[in-house]
Formats: sequence, structure tokens, C-alpha cells
Amino acid sequence: MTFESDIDAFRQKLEQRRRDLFVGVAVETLRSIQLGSEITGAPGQPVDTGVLRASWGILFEEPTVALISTNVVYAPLIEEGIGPHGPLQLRSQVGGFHSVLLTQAGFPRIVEHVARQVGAA
Amino acid sequence: MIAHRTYQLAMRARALTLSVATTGSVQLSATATGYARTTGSFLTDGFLPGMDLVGTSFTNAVNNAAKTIKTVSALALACDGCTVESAGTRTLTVGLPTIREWENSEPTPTAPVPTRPYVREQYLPGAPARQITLGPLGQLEALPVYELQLFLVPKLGILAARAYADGLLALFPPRLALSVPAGDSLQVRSDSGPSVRQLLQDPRGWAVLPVTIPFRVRTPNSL
Repeated sequence: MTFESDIDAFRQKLEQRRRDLFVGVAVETLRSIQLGSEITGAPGQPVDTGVLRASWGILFEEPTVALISTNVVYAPLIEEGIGPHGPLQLRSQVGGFHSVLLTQAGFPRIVEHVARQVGAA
Repeated sequence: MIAHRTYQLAMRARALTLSVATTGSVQLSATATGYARTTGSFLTDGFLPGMDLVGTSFTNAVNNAAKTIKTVSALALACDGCTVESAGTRTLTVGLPTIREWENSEPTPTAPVPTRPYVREQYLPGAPARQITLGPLGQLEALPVYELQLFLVPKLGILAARAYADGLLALFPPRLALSVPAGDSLQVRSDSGPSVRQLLQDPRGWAVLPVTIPFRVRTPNSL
């Protein structure tokens, strides 16, 4: 072992943890929006036909950029709880409104949680 | 202990102090079509079509009552429901829309109509509370979100909507601390600060602009 190899091993370890942290945070963020999370308090998507819940997905666009999105046109209305007849009443037995908002508000806790899991905290 | 009821009422009380536009105390008269002044400018004071104004110090009560601005010029505000009254020292102000739907309550003082703006409150308890310091009386922390959905008169552009929303953002700056019972602290968050969300069209007629205010509360654990 040389000093250079020690430094290189340490660098590789840091890089691996950075990747684990990033992917873990992205996946946990998707789970919070889509299914709900005890970490953020987000309820997840309500389910009628299941189309909205199933539509949420994650795309790793770059090594440090993940896009979490849905292409369902009424998703913003469900997020805000505003429907064709004004404020929506929740009928689904699961999920609720404001999952994106609550995930955003609880994001620091997601990072903290995943960091502990991957040994980066 | 965590007392969401107290926190929600503190946020609501703060929201009720919103001031979007005001004439200050000036010479104002009421006309058959609205309000008038001979000096100064309603435009400079920040009044915009679609805003909900109230008057003070008019002799006739209907001129003090809340009403929605239809058009604005420097010296005249057009509103329905005014009665002619000569000039005197009065004030016109725009604050939080006067039709308010507090959470789990009927809208007051009247049911919303698409010719008037109104505001709807939602309180989201948010991330579960957890203890962040050790030992007896350790600090419990929760991350609620206070949301005000502004329902605004449609087809009047974005200016009034943005003025209301910007006013709320200014009223709840990051790090603002509000008074709550002794031992507790309530502070608007700076790591995930207040924001205005996407403007949605409510098919009933309103344009909806949600304003969200994430905040942090801390309270001693009783164990």
C-alpha cells in the first residue's frame, strides 16, 4: 500500500457513496410522491383507476440529475386538490393531495435518512 | 408538545394582516360607479382589477363594504355597489380576500362567486415530529406546511394574482418567527422556503394560485 493508493481508494469510496446517496434520495423521493412516505408525511397519489399512481416515473438524465415526473394531464389538479367542480373531496381510500409539496417540504429528511442508510452520515 | 391547532391559528392570524394595496388616509369620494380622488394615484398605490377592496371612514356603510375592483385609473376605481358620497378623509385597502374558506368551515361571509376573489386555507401537518435533541425535555421538531389557495377573478391577467401572492410571500419571509406558547418556536423555513405554485384554471371560473409556506416548529418533549 502506498499513500497514493490509499487516497485513490478513499476517493473511490467517496464516489461510490455519493452515487448511492444520489440514487437512494431519488428513489425515496419518487416513493414519497407516488406511494407516500413516513419520512415526509406525504400521502402518495390517490387511486381511482390507478393511472395517475402508475404514471409517476424517474429518469436519470445525468449522473447528478434525476427527473421525477408524470404525463397525466390532471396530475396538477390532484396535487392541488382543485377539480372540475372546485375543491376536490378525497374519495380514494389511499393517498391524498399535496404529495409533491409535502415531499419537497420533507426533502431534507429524505436526504438525512438515505445518508444514514448508505453510511454517508 | 406539538400543537398543530396553535400553529395553524398563528399562521392564519399572520395571513389576516396582509396588505396588498392601500391609499393611506386621503381625500376620497364615492361615485355611482366606484371611488374617486383628485390627487395621488390609485395606480401608484397598487390597486388592480380583480382585487377585493374595503373602505374605512365612509359615512355610508355600503361604501365601506368589500367589493371587487373592475377597472383602475389614476383618479378613479370602478366597483359595483357604491353610493354617491362627497369627499372626505378615508382609506381604501386591499388585504386578504374578504371571502374566506377556513379549513373545514363554510365560506364566510358569503358563498364564493366567480366575480369575486376568495381564499381557501389548508394546513398540512407534514413530516412526522421527531426528537432532535437528547434527554429530558428534548426538542421535538415538526415540519408543517400552511397553504393559502387564492381563487381569483378569471380573464384579468396575472397582475392582481401575482400581487396577492407576492404580498403573501413578503408577509412570510424565510426565518420569520411567530409567537406561539412559551417554550415552543415557530419559524418559516429557509431551506425549503415559501413559494407560489402553478396557476390553475378552475373550470367553475376562477384562476387558482396556491401559495405555500413551509415552516418548522419545535417544542419540548414532556418526557
